[in-house]
Amino acid sequence: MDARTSTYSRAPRFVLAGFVLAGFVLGGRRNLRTVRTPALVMALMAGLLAGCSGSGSTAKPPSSTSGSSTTTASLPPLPTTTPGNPDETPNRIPFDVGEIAARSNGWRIGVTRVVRPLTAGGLPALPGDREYVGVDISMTNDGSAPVTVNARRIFGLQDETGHGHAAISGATGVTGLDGSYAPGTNRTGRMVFAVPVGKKLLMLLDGPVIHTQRSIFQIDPPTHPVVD
Amino acid sequence: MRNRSRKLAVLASIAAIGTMVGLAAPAGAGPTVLTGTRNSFAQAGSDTTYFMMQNLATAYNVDNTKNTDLHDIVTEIPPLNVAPFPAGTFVPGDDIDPSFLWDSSTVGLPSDVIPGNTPPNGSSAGITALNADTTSKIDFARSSRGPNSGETPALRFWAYALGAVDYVTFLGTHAPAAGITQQQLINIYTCNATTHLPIVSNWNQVGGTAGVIVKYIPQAGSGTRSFFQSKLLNGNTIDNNCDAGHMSTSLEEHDARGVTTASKPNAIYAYDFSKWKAQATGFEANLRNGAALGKLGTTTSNRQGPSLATVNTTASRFIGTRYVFNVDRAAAHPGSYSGQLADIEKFIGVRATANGGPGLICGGTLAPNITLAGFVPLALGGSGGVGLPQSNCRLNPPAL
Repeated sequence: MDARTSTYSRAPRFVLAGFVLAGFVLGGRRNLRTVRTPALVMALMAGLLAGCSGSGSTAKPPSSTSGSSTTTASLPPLPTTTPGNPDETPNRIPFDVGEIAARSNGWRIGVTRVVRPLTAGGLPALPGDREYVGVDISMTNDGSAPVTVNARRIFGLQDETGHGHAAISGATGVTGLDGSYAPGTNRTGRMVFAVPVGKKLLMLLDGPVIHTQRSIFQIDPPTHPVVD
Repeated sequence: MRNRSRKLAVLASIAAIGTMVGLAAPAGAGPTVLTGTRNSFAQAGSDTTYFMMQNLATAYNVDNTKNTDLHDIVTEIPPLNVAPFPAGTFVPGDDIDPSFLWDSSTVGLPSDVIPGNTPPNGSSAGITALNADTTSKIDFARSSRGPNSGETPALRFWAYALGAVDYVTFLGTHAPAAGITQQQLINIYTCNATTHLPIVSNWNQVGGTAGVIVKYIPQAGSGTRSFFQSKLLNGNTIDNNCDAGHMSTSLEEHDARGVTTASKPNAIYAYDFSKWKAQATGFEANLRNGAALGKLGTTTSNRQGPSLATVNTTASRFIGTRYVFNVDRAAAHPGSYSGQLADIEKFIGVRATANGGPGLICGGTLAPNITLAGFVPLALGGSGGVGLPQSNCRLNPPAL
């Protein structure tokens, strides 16, 4: 079986779509300060949704058949509320820290620990309004095919103001996660990000790059309130 | 076959129109402002019943039998403004309140000190927002939970359909075909306080064939998990007393695609019955991954799966059966809109016979739509309340 590798072209689209989504998820909390999303972002979102097969919400209308018509040759298709590839639609409720989430094609992915602020030696100094956060991640490929993972390409943080944050550059930015995951492989590692002090954080996974689902994880706070 | 074709065609058309209405924009989606006796209503809250209520609202908006203002317009506000929900939802204005766009571009509710346009996400959030509303921006709420202590009579919970939560197994399962008991289910999902090992870890301990059970569970924060614990596990917490090596693996609710092929014979998971059905019929995307509903009972003699025959309100019902609700406020909001409750209940409630009797949902007319969405309509019966005729709804019913 051939190893499946990351595809560069899909990542940017997810980053934008995911950031917009995460903004809404974070925005569901009443105690956040008001954030006015620029019109540009909304326009981008509209474009992204239109271009993303799994993100549309419009059901394809069934074949025209009036209530008074005679029997049709075949049953009209029922509408679906979630058309397209469901891997493109991330979870509506973020996974909590400590949860190992089973994702499609055999992936087991979870944030096992968040260290904030992270004060490890060797990290360059940051401006006073920023701090490091360490996110410990567990990844297991329980699928049937090997997959190559580049963690920088698939994971990113977003803060409550809608800004995205990639892992810091250099070897300390990602440890323990990159490489080929043969079936049955488990790796645990850490990603380090520089983020604004005091801002709530989510982590976004561009799942389709590794042939699984787009996913959202709680980072800080570590749990999401129940959505009943 | 002929009747089925026509029925499905009509329902499909209704649902498709409903979806388009959900994407409503000021242009091309009906009037932007209603005048005179015509009013615009908006409903927010639960994601579980959003698509069903969108379908029912679409039917109400063109109804001539109960929507006697010809026509009031009901708009369903989605719980989120991301797929699979509409990115923005326009609510027409009326003489009570101007038009409003819910698109999450500003954090918060319209009733907040700093007003926003982000929809409330979930039943409890929707009910909180309904209670806070003073301008008719949220006229009533969707809820998959019943009333909490103290919420009635200020809030009126109209049960109008039944759902259920059950465990599921997969292709080649080692689980017993006859099903399991509630205590066995509890023993699968909890551990011994001393050993920290699962009380039941192998399917052959509960009447199945040998195979180490692989526990999957809806993610923390999901309503399905919450109900699974409170009802099916009788208040026990998932993985209670379990050590790190014996914890359940989380799956997104209503989505079993994370169950691996290798683990399917030994896997167990929880699924919302109505979602399972809706995914089976194509009303929603099929994410079941071959999940089959299990048989469950309080004893070995009453084990049964959820079905149209067992999801009901009788004493012999499926154990995981639950109501779903529409919720309105007894008091007008704003106070100047004295006819608000009566107008809303033409759609979701029941009035005295002299005042119109059951609304469109409670009159039973939309039972096929409810079924299409995967839920089970309520049978005709006493509505509850004072002086109300029989209907297919129940006002503030006790929990099942």
